[in-house]
Amino acid sequence: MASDATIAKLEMEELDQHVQSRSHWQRAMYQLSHDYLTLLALGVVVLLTLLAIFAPQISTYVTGYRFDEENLSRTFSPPSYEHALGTDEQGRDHLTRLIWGGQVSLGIAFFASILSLTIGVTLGLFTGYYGGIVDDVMMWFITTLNSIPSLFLLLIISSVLGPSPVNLILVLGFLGWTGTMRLVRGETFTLREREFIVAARAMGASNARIMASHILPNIISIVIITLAIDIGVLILVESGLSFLGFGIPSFIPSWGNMLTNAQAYFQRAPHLVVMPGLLITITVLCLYVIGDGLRDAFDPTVND
Amino acid sequence: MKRFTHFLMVGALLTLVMALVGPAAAQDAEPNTGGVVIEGNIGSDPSSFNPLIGNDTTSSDIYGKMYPDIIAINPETLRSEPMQLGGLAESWEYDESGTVLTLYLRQDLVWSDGTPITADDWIWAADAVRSGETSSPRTSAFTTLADGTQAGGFVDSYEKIDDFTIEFVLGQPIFDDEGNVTEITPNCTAIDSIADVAVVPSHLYDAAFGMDYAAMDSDPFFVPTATFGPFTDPFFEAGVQVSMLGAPEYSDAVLGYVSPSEYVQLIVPDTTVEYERFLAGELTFIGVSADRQNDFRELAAEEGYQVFESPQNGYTYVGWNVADPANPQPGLDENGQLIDQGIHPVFGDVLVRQAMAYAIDTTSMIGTRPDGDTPASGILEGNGYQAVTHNSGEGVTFVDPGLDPYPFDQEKALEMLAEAGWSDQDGDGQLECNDCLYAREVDPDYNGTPMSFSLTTNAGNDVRERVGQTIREQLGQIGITVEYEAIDFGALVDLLLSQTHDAIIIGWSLGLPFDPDGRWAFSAESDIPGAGFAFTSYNNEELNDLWQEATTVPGCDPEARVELYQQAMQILYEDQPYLWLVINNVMAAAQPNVENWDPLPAANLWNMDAWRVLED
Amino acid sequence: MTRHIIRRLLQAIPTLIGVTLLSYMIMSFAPGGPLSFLGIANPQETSADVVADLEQKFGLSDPWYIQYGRWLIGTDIIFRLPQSETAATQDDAATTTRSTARTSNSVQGCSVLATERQGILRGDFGCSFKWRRPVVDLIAERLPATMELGIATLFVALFLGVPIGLFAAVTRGSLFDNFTRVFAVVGNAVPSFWMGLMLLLLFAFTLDILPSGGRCERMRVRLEDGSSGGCADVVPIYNRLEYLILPVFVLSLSGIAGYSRYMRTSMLDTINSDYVRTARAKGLTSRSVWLNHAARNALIPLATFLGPALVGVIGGAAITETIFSWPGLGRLIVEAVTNRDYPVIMASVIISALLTVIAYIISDVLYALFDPRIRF
Repeated sequence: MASDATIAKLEMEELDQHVQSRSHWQRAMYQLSHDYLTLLALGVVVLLTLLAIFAPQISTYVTGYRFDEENLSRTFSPPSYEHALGTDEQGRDHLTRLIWGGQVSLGIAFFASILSLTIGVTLGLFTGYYGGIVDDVMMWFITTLNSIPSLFLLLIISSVLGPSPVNLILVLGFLGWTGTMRLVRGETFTLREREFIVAARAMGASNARIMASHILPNIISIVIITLAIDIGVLILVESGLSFLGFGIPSFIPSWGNMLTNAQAYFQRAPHLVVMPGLLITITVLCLYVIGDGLRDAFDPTVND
Repeated sequence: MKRFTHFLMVGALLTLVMALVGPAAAQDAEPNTGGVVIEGNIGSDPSSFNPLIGNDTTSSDIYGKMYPDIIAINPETLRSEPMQLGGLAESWEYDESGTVLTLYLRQDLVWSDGTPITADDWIWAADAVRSGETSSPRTSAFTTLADGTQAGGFVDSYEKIDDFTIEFVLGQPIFDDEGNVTEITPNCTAIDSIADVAVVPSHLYDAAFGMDYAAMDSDPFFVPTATFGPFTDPFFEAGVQVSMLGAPEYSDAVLGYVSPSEYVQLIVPDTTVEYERFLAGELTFIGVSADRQNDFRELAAEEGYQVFESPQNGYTYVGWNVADPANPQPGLDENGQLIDQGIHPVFGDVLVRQAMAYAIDTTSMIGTRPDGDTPASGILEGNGYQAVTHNSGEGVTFVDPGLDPYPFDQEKALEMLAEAGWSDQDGDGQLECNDCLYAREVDPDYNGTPMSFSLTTNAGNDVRERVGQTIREQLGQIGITVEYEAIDFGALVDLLLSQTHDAIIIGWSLGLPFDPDGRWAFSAESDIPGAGFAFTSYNNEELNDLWQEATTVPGCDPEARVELYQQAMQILYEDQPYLWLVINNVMAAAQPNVENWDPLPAANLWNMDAWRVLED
Repeated sequence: MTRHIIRRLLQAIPTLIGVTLLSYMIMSFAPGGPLSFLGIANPQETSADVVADLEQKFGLSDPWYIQYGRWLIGTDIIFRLPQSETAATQDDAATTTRSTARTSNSVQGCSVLATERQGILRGDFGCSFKWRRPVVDLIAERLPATMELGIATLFVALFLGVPIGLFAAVTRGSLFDNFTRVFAVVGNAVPSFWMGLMLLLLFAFTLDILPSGGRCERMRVRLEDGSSGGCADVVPIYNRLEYLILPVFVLSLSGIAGYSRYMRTSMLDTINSDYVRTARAKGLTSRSVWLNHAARNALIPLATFLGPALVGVIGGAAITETIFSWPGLGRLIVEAVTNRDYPVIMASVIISALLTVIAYIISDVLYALFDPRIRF
């Protein structure tokens, strides 16, 4: 379709300027190491990720509560010595739940992005490389999928599958790959005609080998940029699904369902609304900034 | 002001003592000048305006204001009584067998087009429902449908004697092998079935549908040109509101005329926004949820809101599936004989169910109201009562078995579980089956299986969702794994009816007119996978006999019935087919400028047609 | 040009077929299968006779492509059901007498169990389980509200996003440039339901300067034809703009951010391009170069954003409409999913896809019109 082609073309123009050489990566790294905003964002995300990964250890040794440990005689406590960030409606330690919530929210977003990226890159490589009928069928499928608002599909499928973190990862992963696939397909399209690919083919390299060792390394930068932005978007999607009542069960904390639950109690316990909202915003913001920073680093035309 | 009557039942005969307090005060106000009554609706649009096929609360809130009942409820006693506003019944009498009821109708009532309301108006509706051709859920009022299929109800036949007299044959049916009713035995709750079927203007319904009752399903929003009720002419704006206009000529109102000009259900997204809109003065009245009641009490004292509190007519509970969830069976076979339903691996044992009552701390869920500097605690924050058994003495029930709740004592619970063959032998903190009932009676290989079950409730009900989390956590502490999940309400009802669940948190609303009969929830005859409400498959012969006896007491003497129900409650209390949790405190509130706002327990809106919303 | 439009329309056909196939699959794989589509929630617990009867009546034992075809183009074309003739005549008779017995209430209902279907291609999407009304009616009365919100959102997003982006590009590195960039990113990183609720609490309930939701003031009016109407029927949109402010703000944030970012990049590219450099070298003022050359060219690709933007608005409306009690399609679909009202779900999916495809075509044609390089 023309509009698809146009978008792909625009994206290609943007990325076409890449110089496929070691110096390209070196240049990007140099650029990144001087982009303090991106480095700061990266630092924040790494810190949150570490907190999420070590949530079990932190809740055992530092905060001293389990994420589902209730105390119904101490509900809605404001921050205090025992509970650094207070307690929620079930008397659970808010800080502990925020840390575990990070594990769930970041985990779902991360694994779902990896899943959608894997699908997107694989299909993008194949369709872009082979073109022809495979490409036509894929493009038809994608146009179909893209013409339906993805939130509708998400709601429908997650209502059928039922709420659990694993289901959510699968649903988000299987519905989110079209953008990546189009990007990769467009890029592969142009790379296919490049001299070094033609040369490799002439030297008898198999298609699989060309795709894996010649084309893939050249699109890795797009993949990383997409990953960063996708994770951010999916954190927001997870919270939106929670709001509409299709998120994961609320005894398993995620930033999205914590924020949703807290809204009912915002008058009496504003502290419960602030932190999950802030954490979602900061994380997503940092991921966007990282995505932007990476794009700037890899794309010399945008910055000067 | 009130024109309510009281009636007493003496022996087998009903003596009616009328105490008509003259029709309302002088016409000091014109009808329909009392302003607009607006309430919030966190549901959705109505699906029908037809009282014969409507099947959801939004719809019944609308059509309930346009049609009379054949027997109405006295809002003060919450029982069916004759000579009530909006009710046709003037008096009734049973014959000696106790199964033939003659109902005399008031002769002073007319539809808004002047046509008198007669026996034909109920009979048309009954014929339509009983035809079985419609999607009407009220077929369950009848013993059999027109084509002979069993419908599970009490009304066996009805006959018009004259325009204002109907004779019914009703009671517990006994079927022969071919499914024909051979005998009817008296049943004290049978009379309430009559009122399940609404009264419709038969001349207009007949003109619209004739004998083609199924056509009502194609036109669920049919509104006849004449109605009988305080509000009429419903208009609905999708996703925004349903509005009804005050009926100008309706005289069966509390004041003798309808005061409000309009009644509106305004769609609101959730309780937070509903509450805020009430505080902003956009809603006339509201039900305040448990977690806001403490705040609102203070606010009302400052701002002058009117407040009314009463215990809920119902309770929240956990239903344990006592039968084998892998193979759901009905309670009775076609010949009325008990079917072996197997036992649930965990809850088949009464000791386990009793242990659950010790292991779960209901008191902490109910919690306490704030007191000085001490903040509120618990889930209901003191705005609820302990439910002990099916009829606990709180709320509108008149059966008070005087039972104490099981105390919270997890050590006692562990002892009982050990006695039942559940203990932690391998030291992993998890209880396992060691010669538990299921291993003894069904499958010896079950020994060593960790104690775990699924617990399900519906998403969107805050109290239930939070109670579920607490149960999961408290049982986790003593080594029982609970797989807890909150699913959407429709899916929960499907699961519950299918009887494939382990445990479900849900609530019963006990309904009006109030009757203590609990056979619909605790008997083999209501245990039908896919349809019956006795979804726990709990069955107790002794209890069945009590239910039977209590509904066939000669003359349905209330005191004799209460005694039997108290024994029944004792059995339920000991057998614990449910873990009874809480009875919510219902808080109704109205704006300071609403005059004549006078809620009664479980009948908050009984005199809405008398309200005046004053201009500021 | 006409040929191009026709070609684009033809190209849309496979997409729409794909969408109908996909919705049909949703119905088939739904818990309970196609029987649940007839309002039978638990087929395994319904008696075998009833199930067999229904399967026969609705032709459920036919191969899936027959059923799909029937759903697509109607029962009268794929096959005529045995009892259809009598049912039709009875219905006509009932309708004529009914008009005398009913009030002016304009709501039309329908029966889930009707065996005759016109097929979705002729606009018969069946009957909603939950609301017992023709799905088409349900969607038709919700669509204007969503379109109102959607168009207002696109409008605001374009008219704020484009100038912001242009100005940011022109004043690159300035305070304005940096501020708008940060604002755009932050606005996109906040969960929209959270922002919506906080804005509602602040502006509607605390400050009391904006309405607390809805599309219009609540009212009931008598229309000229004697039927009743709501506020949206009589109050023109320019008199109820205050209702649009909060929902449009929340919905258009991502659009504003997207357009301004896009315009900024696009403008920077154009400024650096050879012909603009040439123009400036010729001595034209920077102002006229930017406005006459650079901005115009930078605007062209924006047309391609129309399609995706509309999908985003319709999708995002589900959340925004819920918070702001906006009586639109998004809320309808959320309620339908909660109630497992498959006819409504399927129809909403198909109709929103149809709208999207149309938007894609329009944006494509606009692009072709604006860009002088494209010739047909």
